[in-house]
Amino acid sequence: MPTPALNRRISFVLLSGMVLSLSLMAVGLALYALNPGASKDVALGPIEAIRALMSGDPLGLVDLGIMLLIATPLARLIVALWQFARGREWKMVVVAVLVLGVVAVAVLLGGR
Amino acid sequence: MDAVAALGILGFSVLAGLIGAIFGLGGGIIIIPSLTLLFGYPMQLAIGASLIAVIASSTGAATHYVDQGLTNIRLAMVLEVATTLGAVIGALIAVYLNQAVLAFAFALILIYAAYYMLTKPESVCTYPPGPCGPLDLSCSYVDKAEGKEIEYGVKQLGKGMAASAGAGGISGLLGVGGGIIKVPVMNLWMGVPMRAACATSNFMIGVTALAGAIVHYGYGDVVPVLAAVVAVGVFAGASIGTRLADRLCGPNLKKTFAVILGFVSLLMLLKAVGLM
Repeated sequence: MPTPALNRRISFVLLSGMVLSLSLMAVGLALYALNPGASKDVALGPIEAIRALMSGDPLGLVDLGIMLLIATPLARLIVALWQFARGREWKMVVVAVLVLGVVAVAVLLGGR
Repeated sequence: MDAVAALGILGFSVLAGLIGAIFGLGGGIIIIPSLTLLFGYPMQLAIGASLIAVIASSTGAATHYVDQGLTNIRLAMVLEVATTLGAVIGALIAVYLNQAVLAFAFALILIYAAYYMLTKPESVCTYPPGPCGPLDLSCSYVDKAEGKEIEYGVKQLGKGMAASAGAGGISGLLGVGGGIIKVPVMNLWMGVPMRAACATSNFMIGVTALAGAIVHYGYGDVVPVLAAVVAVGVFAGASIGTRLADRLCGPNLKKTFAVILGFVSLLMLLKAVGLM
């Protein structure tokens, strides 16, 4: 049966992640449009994206926005896991850990 | 990417989000043919951009559905074990498949999507709340049109998991959300009412696309500017489409869109055999 606290927290995480990531992307794209071709359009990864941002490269902002968007559904998995653990729903805790495990495999394969 | 191409891609992405929201599809079915056939991007880069857009549009809609209590979060998470596994395998296959095979597979999915749009099978039979194997995935929501609470149980979890793994595989392989498989499976096989099935599928799409997107990102198939233009455009289009959906989604429009999907699938088949 639905749990209002679970729904409320997940909805908050999804909304926050979406607003923040799309804002980063939109601002990054606007700055990139002012100076197109200043940097090569390739995925940077977290550390390089922060470095690019520090050096004023808008591609860093765009890439951070994309990574934050990818991380948003991951954050809602973690919030669900925490909420299930608090409610002592151990079977659902196992389910959440399994999904996180598959995502971890994806991270390992993607970051080969 | 020059300014004209960026504006063109943004325009098509807004359109993809708009049409996706009106017909209850992810934007991938429109984005991928647009990027490959009109803007000349390789299938792998189009799939990478589409997966990012799919996360954006599904996250936006999921916020709304979770708030309304339509999403069966427990069922979604159980099925996500299968969809994420399928998505990782699908994405790994996509990285190594050649363009022609991917275009051919995508054309087949478009034909299925057109068929689904025309027939849209729906069951109104629900099961009473109760355990489904070791888990109780029963849920309820308030139907605002009828002004009453709908309670339902979930059955045939094994079949649902198998089909979800297939839907996840298609998502990772072809960059689409996979809702056209998950929604009928949940409704027809598992006894989930249609509105709850749509909301639950939408919720799952974010995590499914996440698993595929991470693999594509790591292999360099997510080009940041392209992906961001598509994601921002799809999100803007979906925001408008959600408000227009009830007014615009008539049977004639559905038939027209199904015919367009059939035509685009033909173009993708021509691309697959090297005639485009």
